[in-house]
Amino acid sequence: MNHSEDMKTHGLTYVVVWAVLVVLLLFNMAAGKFFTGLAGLAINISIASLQAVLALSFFMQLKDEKGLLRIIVPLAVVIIMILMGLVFSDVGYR
Amino acid sequence: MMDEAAKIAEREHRDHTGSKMGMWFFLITELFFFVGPFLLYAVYRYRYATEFRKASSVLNLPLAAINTVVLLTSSLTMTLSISSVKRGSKRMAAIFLAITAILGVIFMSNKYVEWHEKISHGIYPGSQDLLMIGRGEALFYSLYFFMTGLHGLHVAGGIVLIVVMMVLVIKEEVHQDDVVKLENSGLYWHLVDIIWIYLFPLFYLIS
Repeated sequence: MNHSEDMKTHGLTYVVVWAVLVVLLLFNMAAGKFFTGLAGLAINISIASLQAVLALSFFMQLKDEKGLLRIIVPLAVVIIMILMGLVFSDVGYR
Repeated sequence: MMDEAAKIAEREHRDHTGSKMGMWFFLITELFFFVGPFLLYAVYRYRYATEFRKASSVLNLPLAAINTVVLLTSSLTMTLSISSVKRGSKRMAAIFLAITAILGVIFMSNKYVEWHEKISHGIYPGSQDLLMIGRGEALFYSLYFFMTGLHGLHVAGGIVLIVVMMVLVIKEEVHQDDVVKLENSGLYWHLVDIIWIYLFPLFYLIS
């Protein structure tokens, strides 16, 4: 595949990713109607996280990066989850 | 083409990897900047679940959904502008950047309409009406204005950045052999989009 065709393929990929993001948004809105409470929250956050992973991988091209760049974002997410866990281990027992 | 780019990079002391890494580290700090308010939201929603659900029901869901599509589309056009520069198409890159900026302005305009709706009903930080409703609902609206306002400031900054990039593309200071400034601007814009991807369900989909 030459350079021009490669770019066209990339362009099409980005459009497909955009379409998937919009569909996931619609799923999220539908889930908000049918699920409430903790289940609704879990589904909303899961769908939002899937959208974030798609944006990170394709739009921000994290999947094409190598070395340190590939691990710092997942590392940041792990640190955030630890932070949340520690906060709720305090708040949850008050 | 790659050899020529490498020679230019060496002559002009450019470090593409270093620039990108620096930008990613900045984005991580921006992420942690928002993590604080998100944590605050999480704790207060846990404590005032019913009040948060009630307060969320008066927000304008259709407008927020449209805003989400607007921001997702702007991320697409931003990415396509970078592809266009890499392909050597200056004209298409400038067009995509213009569309991205316009979509950012549309997002901010919709946000203005939303906020105006609330403020005209006496719901704004420090208002007497807000002080008289329950603590849980008051916390929801305070977090709503703070977090969407903080996000809006980032969108406004992003729009300025996109316009600057558009000028640089037109002047060919951003071009096929040196696209890192535009790529870094794109990374910033996508992060702003990702933050809204989380803000939207947390404020608008809980009722």
